[in-house]
Amino acid sequence: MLIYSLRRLLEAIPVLLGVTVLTFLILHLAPGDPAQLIGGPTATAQEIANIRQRLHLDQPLYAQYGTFLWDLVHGDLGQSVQRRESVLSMLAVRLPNTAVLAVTSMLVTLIGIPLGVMAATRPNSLLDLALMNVSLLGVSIPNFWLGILLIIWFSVGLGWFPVAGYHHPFLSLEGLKSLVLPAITLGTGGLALVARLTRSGMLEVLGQDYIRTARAKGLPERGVLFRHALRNTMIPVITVLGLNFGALLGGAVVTESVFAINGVGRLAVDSILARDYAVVQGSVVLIATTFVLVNLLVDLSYALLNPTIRYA
Amino acid sequence: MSSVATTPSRPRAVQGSKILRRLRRSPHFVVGATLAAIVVLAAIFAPLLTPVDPYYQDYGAVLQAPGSAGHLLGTDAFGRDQLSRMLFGARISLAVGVVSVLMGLAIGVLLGLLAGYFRRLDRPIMMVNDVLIAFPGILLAISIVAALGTSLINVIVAVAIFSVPTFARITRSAVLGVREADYVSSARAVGSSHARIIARTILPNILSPLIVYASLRLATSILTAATLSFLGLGAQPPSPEWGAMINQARTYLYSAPYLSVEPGIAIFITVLAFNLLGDSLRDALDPRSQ
Repeated sequence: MLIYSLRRLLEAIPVLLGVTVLTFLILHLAPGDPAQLIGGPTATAQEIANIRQRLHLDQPLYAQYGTFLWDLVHGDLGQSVQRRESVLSMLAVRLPNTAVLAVTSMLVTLIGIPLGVMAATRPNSLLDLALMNVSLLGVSIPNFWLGILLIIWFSVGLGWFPVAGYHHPFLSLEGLKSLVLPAITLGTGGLALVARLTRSGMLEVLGQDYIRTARAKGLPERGVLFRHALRNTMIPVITVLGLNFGALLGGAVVTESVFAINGVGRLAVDSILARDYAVVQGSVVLIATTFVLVNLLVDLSYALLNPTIRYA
Repeated sequence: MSSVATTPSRPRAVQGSKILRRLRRSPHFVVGATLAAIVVLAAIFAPLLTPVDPYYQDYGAVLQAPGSAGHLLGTDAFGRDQLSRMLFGARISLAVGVVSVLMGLAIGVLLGLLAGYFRRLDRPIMMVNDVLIAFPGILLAISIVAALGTSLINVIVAVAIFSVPTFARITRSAVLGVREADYVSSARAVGSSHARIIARTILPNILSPLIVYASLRLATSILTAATLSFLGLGAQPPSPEWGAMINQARTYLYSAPYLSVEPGIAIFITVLAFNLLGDSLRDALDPRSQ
């Protein structure tokens, strides 16, 4: 297990490096002069030359990347041009808000597992049909629009939840209420996907001989479903949950904008609109790195669930 | 070369009529095709169907509720007819979706074919691919728009690049599945060039998963483009792009919620239509996947 974990960890390093290269290149090969942008339209040629020297923009591209990477591993993501603040501290303030949103949305997504099991135990029933059709709608609904509909119905119409923003602390009635709509908005697509996947996985497993044997032995149906069938359905479901966590991180960009949540995603979008490239770079590297690491954890969890994978 | 194409060991292609029969029997296909046809026809005949110019501002009729005289779906804060804007929005959304999917398909399939066929190219291409896939959700598209600047053309480029890694991966795995097949070996044995083997022998045999994925990707691309415009990174006002319309309507959630609801329904129906088409195509081309 240790060797397997180390091998997967080593395999993630080139991908992480690639993420930094690509993020660096995308923003450094963009049209326009960053020094001119930072200096503004009134900056003199001397001021622009100074900015270029200070930010190492006068060096070749590979040297700039080397400096960027060196600073990155030392926790220096640069300065925001717009706010004159360290990018790292800006991200540190916003990261907990995004993390709370991602975790609560993941909880919403997990509701898809019991729904999928329920649908699979009564195939072609009204419940199965309803669940699967609703889940198809869930996959197709734009999550930013779902967020707006929820705001119109539950915040503007009924006044049950706040229209925007988080209320701190999270573990208070107001805090929890402020999490409900963003979590549903972000988690619904994943919920639908997980419900469909659990259903099809369960249907396949429930037809296997060992399930028939378990039933023939007189095991209670709940034990058959959850201890024998569901456990063997979990590998593809966990894969999708891992990938879905990435979608949650990407989707957080949108959900945070809809609900005016002060998170990393909203910071990225605001910085793109303000052309504050250091902040965009920092946010993108942070989100992509988190995604790679979560997928690594998902891969390692396979080995725990299915020992044959470790020896493959 | 035709003798190679009809080598007995070649997997039998699923009959076209059989596929059509399966599709006709699928309720998902019927609903998806009907909805898609409505959206496509609305886009094509938008100028004939719209009562007014989608950009015409009538300050005497701002924020008119749906059903008001001459404005079936109401008007926005500038007095522009909401129905006209939504019909013209269908043109933008479909064009962005189709063009970006075709671009992503062309680049992704080319990379996938090269990676799957030439062993030496597999590792470098797939490494770059893995890096592209490491950007979660629409973050890659957002990063590209960040670099290129906010405009609808850049959204098409961003959404196309966003599609490339998955098309490349699907193509590569399909190529790996047929690379050692007898009919490919036969083509090699008769001295066909690599380009000919790839284009004439391999590509036609891996089209099914690509067609299915392209139709599903159309839904994702339309959704991604609308999302980017909603964030203010895509189509800019006064463009009647659906995502941009919802973004502009956010200020009127209390006074005119229909401005957000209507374009959202249009996006939802379009995405649902292509998801249903993709799902039913997959089931028809590969019944085992059901």
